Amino acid sequence: MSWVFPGFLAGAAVIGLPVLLHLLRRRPREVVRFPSLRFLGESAVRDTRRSQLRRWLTLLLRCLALALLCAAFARPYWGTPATATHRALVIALDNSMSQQTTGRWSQTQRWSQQQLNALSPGDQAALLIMEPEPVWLVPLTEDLARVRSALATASPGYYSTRYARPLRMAAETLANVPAQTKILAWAADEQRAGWRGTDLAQTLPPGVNFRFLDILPAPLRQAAVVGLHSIDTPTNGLAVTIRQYQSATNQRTLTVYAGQTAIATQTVALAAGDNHFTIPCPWPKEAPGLRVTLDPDDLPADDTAWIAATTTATNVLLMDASPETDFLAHALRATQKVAGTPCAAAPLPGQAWPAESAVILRDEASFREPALTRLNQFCAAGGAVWIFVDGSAAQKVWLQQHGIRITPRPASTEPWHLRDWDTGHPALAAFAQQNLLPLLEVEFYGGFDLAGETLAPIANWPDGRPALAELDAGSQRLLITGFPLNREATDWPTRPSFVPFIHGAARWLGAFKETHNDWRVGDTISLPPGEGRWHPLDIPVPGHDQIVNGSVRPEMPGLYEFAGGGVKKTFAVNTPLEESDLAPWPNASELAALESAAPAPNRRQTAALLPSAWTKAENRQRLWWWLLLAGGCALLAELALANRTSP
Amino acid sequence: MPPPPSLSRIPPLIGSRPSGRPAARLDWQLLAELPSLALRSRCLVDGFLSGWHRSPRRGSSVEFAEYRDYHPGDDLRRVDWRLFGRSDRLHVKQFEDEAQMRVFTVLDASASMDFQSRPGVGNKLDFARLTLAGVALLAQRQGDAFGLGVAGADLTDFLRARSSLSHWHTYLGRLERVQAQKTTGLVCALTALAEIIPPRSLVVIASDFYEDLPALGAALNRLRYDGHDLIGLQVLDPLELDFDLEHTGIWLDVETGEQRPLDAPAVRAGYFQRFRQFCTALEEGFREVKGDFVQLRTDQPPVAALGSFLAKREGRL
Repeated sequence: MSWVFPGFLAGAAVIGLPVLLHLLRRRPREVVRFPSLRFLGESAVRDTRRSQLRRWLTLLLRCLALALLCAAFARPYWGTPATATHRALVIALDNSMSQQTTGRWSQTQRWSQQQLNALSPGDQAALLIMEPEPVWLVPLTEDLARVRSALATASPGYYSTRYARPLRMAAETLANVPAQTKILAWAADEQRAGWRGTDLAQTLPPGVNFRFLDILPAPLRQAAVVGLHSIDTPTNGLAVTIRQYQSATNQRTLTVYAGQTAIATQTVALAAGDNHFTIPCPWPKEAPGLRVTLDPDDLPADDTAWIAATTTATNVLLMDASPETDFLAHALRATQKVAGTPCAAAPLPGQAWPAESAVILRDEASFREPALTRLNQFCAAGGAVWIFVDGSAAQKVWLQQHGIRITPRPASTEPWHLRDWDTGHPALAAFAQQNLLPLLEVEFYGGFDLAGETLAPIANWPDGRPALAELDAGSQRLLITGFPLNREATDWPTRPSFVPFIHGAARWLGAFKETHNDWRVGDTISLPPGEGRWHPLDIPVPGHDQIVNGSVRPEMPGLYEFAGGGVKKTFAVNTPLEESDLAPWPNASELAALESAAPAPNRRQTAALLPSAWTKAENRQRLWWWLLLAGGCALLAELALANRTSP
Repeated sequence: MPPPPSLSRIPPLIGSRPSGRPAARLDWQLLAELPSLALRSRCLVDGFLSGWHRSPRRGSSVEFAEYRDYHPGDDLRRVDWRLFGRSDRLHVKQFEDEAQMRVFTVLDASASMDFQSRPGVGNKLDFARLTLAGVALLAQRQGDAFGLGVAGADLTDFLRARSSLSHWHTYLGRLERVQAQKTTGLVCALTALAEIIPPRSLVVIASDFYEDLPALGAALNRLRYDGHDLIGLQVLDPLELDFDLEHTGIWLDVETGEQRPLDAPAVRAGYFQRFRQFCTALEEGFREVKGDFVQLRTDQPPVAALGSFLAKREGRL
């Protein structure tokens, strides 16, 4: 028999208490003079003996009840405390797009099956898939057939590889498993991009045996369509960029499809690196987009790219003059190098502001005439506005007219950090799948509390008052930032999270005129406000429509159409660029070094990890309940007997 | 009727005890609190001297009893001449006789009577002594004769009934000198007493009556047959009545010396059952001989307890 909380058994020492009381209360055997014992005959002697027996029985029941209660609290169960003879295997399965490379997936599955076959009945196994997020496809179980089945039905997707999180997740799980042998089977192709951000110097927990698939060399024939742009020329051609990953020159055929119809074909010679070609082809009328396909190589998934039938443009944000260093303009300029929607800053025009643009206002002059008239007209036309609150009188009046009250925050010696970030907000899409720490680290030294019935907070000050909020005003987008963008108020411009945030907010503000046509699998696409239907027009495998609201994260490359709120837009989603580079990064010795040199936990330490093991056995047997019941019965019997015994 | 003795003149006597226990000084002053009660017999008494108790004989009191025919030699002064005038026959008038009552007090001096459960509670024997002295004092106050019988292994001491003041002193002295005996023989003592005391007396027995009840019943019947009126004073220690003991150990029967390992709480219920059964049977035995019976607790003032009993008895007569 084993115990879940053996410490409670020490509580059995309290048994000594009733024994002690019994001994203390024991009356001395003295000679009692009595006038006559004629009324205390033989039956009295029998009564005395019976009483003594009853007293001992009461004491026994009392001790038994205490012992049973202690045993019940110690939660006993039948079985060995540690699964010392068992093994625990976690298979971390890389299901990124690179696994679609010819032969890789079958090899990965075969190797994983071999790892499973090496297990014996009673051993445990789990299957962790890495993308898009590390998820337990099968949690740790003794049902190996279930793991085999899940492994057989798994398939690679189109996501890019990230090894750091699944490695940590699998290792932590194994570290907490009370098995003597712990194996982490790393079924991945060790892509360079996947290991980015992983600290290879940080070893796995002691006792975890790290096994990995033989590192495969890069395939001999691999190229990917990495860029596709329409050229606004009389020939209406397409600018195609093809990246070849091996040095040998290759002759490939490039075909442009409109739907299922090939509209242009061109044979190209590819050298190592990026190869730029222009394919003259007329853009068919009514075609929502085009598909450019290279004849298949070892990784066919990235040989196809799509382009939506929209014009490529850079979003322009109109900004008033900044009284100080214009951090915002610098940040927007930096987004030119960010994949996705580039943004550019332009000064506010001296005439009416175009309604399809987004406006950023930081200066009090923007809330005074003549700019005030243009601002009101711009808002009335549904223009998007981003206001940085500086507390100026004109700004305050304008905000009050729109139902927003601002109150200066009291000065503090300690800097503030914003909290309650609404990670679901599209403006924070850049942080949604990553760590929020960069946002939480930003320091603020001054600012304003925002208040208003129609405000939807995006982030709050430490006391819970809104600091960053969106004005819910129908189709108009109004973003209020409760602090000016200068060094006296915050150090955000110097923080790494500044540019991604500015870019995300600008993309969200300008979503109504989104012209981006080079989305990648895994990106979060901002959509026009309101519910709509996400319909796949041309994807590698048949798919279904989705009902989306505000944003979507496609799992597969292809051409999609969004229809909703009176808007119909086409989106081209292509494969992640880094997945096309199949070259492995770490060598076998570096991976082997991940295994900890520290000694594996001994049996006692392993037994300390028992909770996950005993829970099942203990919950099934529920011996504690019966012990508790028996203890209760013993207590009742003791009570009844004690009442009869007590004088 | 002679006056009652002056209590202040009664010398305090301290008797020695065979057990070596220092004798408690009997406080005879307690008798001064005895109320003026009449001590009377249910039965007709037969005494040598005239007194104020009804006698079965014809005497010279003012109470008319009956007529009888004149016989030669009768005193002519007792002839009812008016009746002779009406009936022409000689009849003699007879009147009730009133006699002095003889009260015999019997003290049980068995070992079981030499018991005192705790300080502050009287010794059973001392309590009985005081109670019987109270009875004797009442008899002495009303001019009746009183005597003493001490029951040890047998009738170990006997004092004839007298009513004089000097007899009162003698009585107290004899009572004081009584020592508890190792054995008990109340039945033998009563039987022996029945042989020597004149009939139609009042016999007051102070004892715990730890005797064989049928034998005791026979002895009481024997006394009753002689026309004695019987009063049983069962003197008991509070411990015997309440049994409020928690002792576990060897219990010693002070009368027989028997020892038994007992646990008081365990035997309490059985003790009460048997003890009450015995007391009920004892009371029934006294009732059968038309006697009176009362239980007296030694934690109560003896004189008050006696006074209360006698008052109730007087009311019943």
